[in-house]
Amino acid sequence: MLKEHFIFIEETKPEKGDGWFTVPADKIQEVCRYLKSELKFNVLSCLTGTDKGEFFEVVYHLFASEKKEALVLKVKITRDVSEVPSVPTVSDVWAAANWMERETFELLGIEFKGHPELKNLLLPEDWVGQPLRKDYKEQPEYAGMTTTR
Amino acid sequence: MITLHNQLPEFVLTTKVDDLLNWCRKSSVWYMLFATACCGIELMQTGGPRCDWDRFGAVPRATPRQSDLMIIAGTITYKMAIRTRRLYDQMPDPKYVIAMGSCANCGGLFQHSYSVLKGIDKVLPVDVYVPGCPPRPEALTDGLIKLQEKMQSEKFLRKNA
Ligand code: SF4
Repeated sequence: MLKEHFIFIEETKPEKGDGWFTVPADKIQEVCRYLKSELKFNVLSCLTGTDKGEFFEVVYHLFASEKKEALVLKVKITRDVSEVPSVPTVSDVWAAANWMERETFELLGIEFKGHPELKNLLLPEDWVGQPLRKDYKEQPEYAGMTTTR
Repeated sequence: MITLHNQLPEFVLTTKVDDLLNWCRKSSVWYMLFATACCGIELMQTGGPRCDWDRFGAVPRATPRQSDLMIIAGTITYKMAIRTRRLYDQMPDPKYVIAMGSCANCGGLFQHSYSVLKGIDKVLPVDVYVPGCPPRPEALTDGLIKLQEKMQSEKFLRKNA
């Protein structure tokens, strides 16, 4: 049903486990609004990101509490050294996305465009680097404490 | 001392001021109620009725300003390390620190993590290290007894003079 409505969505069905839909980055807000208002996916249970080497992935786990259905959306962002990876925010669709986007931002450095308050959630404000990126290099010290034993 | 020998009534004890003070101090080690991870559960158990630290005069205090001993029970992140140091600075002298568990000693099983401090001795002076993950209440009690031995051997008056 989702694919009929949005032709640009790709579906992936692995042999084992649940499938997911891949959405282009600039269409994610539109798709999410539709999913929430028409298909009643009222809960955003998880929003996270992964570093796959050549590209980043932002993963949305949705849940419809009335129909008891779950859905996974993925957005691929190509990794480009010169620019910051970015996706439009969905925090205006589900308020729960606010903190999860901040968490993804601090750990992977993915920018969520239009987010009302995009800053570190748990990491200190003066933290250097994005710890969950594959190419993360630990700083020799933080606030005067050496990071090696 | 020798002239006093056998000249006082039996209920009078003679001792050194240092020893008396140290005995008082070591029998009232108030520790701060402070724990950051799973070792904290074992710390609660140690303070509870079965292991009963109260019999050593060690009772938990909820504020650093009334504590003599800080037990670092659990993983310390860099962010927490700054706060731990602040708590430590609020404790009145003389103060002691027990590093409880691998995490507090060296970062433990999280030592390859980006956010975990590799040993609390990077920010505070530590008196007793208790190994284990988590240390059993017996091990922690042993740590306390070791600390009491240390307190008893201190020259408290001379240090402050
Ligand atoms: S030493 Fe073990 S039990 Fe103690 S805080 Fe670390 S992981 Fe938890």
